[in-house]
Amino acid sequence: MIKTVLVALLLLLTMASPFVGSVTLDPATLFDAGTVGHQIFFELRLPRLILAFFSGALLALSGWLFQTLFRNGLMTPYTLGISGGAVLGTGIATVLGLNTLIIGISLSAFFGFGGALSSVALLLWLSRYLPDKEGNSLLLLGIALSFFFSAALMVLFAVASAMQSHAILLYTMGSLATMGYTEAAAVAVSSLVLGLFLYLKRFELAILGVNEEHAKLKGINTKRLTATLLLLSSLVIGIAISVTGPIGFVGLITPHMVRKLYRRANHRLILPVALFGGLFLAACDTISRLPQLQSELPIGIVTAFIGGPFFIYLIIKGKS
Amino acid sequence: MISVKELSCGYDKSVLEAVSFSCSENLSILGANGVGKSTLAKALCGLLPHQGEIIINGRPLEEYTAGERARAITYIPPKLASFDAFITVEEFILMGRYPHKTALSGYTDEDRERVGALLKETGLPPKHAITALSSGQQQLLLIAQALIQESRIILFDEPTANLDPKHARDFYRALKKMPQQTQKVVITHDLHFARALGYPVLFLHEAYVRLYEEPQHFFTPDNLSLCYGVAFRPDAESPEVQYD
Repeated sequence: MIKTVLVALLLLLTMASPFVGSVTLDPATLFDAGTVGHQIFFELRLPRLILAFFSGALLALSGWLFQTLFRNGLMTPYTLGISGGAVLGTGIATVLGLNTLIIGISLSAFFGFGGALSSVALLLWLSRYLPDKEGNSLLLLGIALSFFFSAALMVLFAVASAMQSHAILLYTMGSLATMGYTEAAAVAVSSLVLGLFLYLKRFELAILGVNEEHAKLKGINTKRLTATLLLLSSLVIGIAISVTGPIGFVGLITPHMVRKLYRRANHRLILPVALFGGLFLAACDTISRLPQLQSELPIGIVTAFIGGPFFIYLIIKGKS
Repeated sequence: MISVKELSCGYDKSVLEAVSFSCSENLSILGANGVGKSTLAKALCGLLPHQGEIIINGRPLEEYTAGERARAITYIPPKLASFDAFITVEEFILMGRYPHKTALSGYTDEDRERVGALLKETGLPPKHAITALSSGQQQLLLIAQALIQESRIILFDEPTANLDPKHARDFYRALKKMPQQTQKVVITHDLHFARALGYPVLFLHEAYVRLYEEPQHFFTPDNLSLCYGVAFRPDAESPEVQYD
């Protein structure tokens, strides 16, 4: 019952997404190529919906992956500081004025990926010295890295011009605003590649979901699997974050929500996690642009308003 | 066949120092707490870095690929611990076939049929979550998974530690029904259980390791007192479980 209501609500908000915003669209003129409504719908709102859906799917899948790899319900690229690394990388590209395109991809995306990858490398290197790799020590390490990256971002603010600072500030709030389909397609492809790879590795991830020792005893090279998946996820997270900025809570709450709704083995949740993540972010984007609001709310604020209370609920109730 | 020469391993500091033994039969491993019984078992399965030589079925452990190693030797922990709370009994047992499947293929119909047969034999509920099972059922589940994995050597770490006498007896019977060609190694503190098994005994002590090929020589009160450093009453008449 709860699942049906939730899916219906998310679908309704998602489908309403292209029709919600500061300009009210007339459905009758949507397919008239010369009209403003047509342009807004096909050049702004539809790509935005695609970007929102696939960003949500990617973030949710990344969260699911990190929780599975480290067997801790609080692990996400966000809580482990990987998003922070990607934000810092993209921020550095902004300050250096690197907005050129290389093989159709913005240079800042490469910096985002570099930041994500560097933070993964740093996290893995430091984790070798942790006494308890599977417990909360890794999480605390990730939180410490997040603080470090935030501080480094503050340094960027100090050295950036007023315009660059403003751009970085807006970027750190997260935004799904886009024009045309290039960025949406990049994130969609990234999300599909991640989803496909996770599906191909579902047997290994199922066994790893029990515990690492169990996976090793079944003949899985857990180090290689973890390194491969972290590398791939760093790449796609870097690409997504360079486009949308950091968007919190989607990666954390979606896997928990799906686990509670479906109550089935972790490896059988890949598709539901992707779909719920996509629908959740698209629905949050619709809420952020409700006409009753004076101006559009940054998407990170909406996800945090919904995700924050849920996160507190999780802490109080313990991991799902 | 397990052969160990000058094996040293541990966690932050070495628990086992220069241990050597060789055994091609079933084996019980006994010893005081913290002496390194589980450490030895984990090292034998390649779960811990080590120094010295481990030969499994005539081949150095380092020469095995991860998959080959899983087909050669496996380890059953004292308790099932799973992050994923919703894996079903059926799914968990099927994971035992992973070392036998090819890279991108799924599990075969034959794999599923074998799981079905094991489920019938054990009476385990196929669709129940593994975390919802009792300790006895979880032990049975771990054995079922190990059986379907078909490793030539299976190491059981304190299998009866969480079991009541009836479940301990059921485990004993399950162990006795396992294929003859599978080498079974049982780590235990339960002297009655180890004696009932009748396997040769490897006794680990902080200062030495001794293999008793004739287990009855180990279970004398004098020898037990010497091994464990506590007195054993020769006239004790405590009731014992009838395992057979």
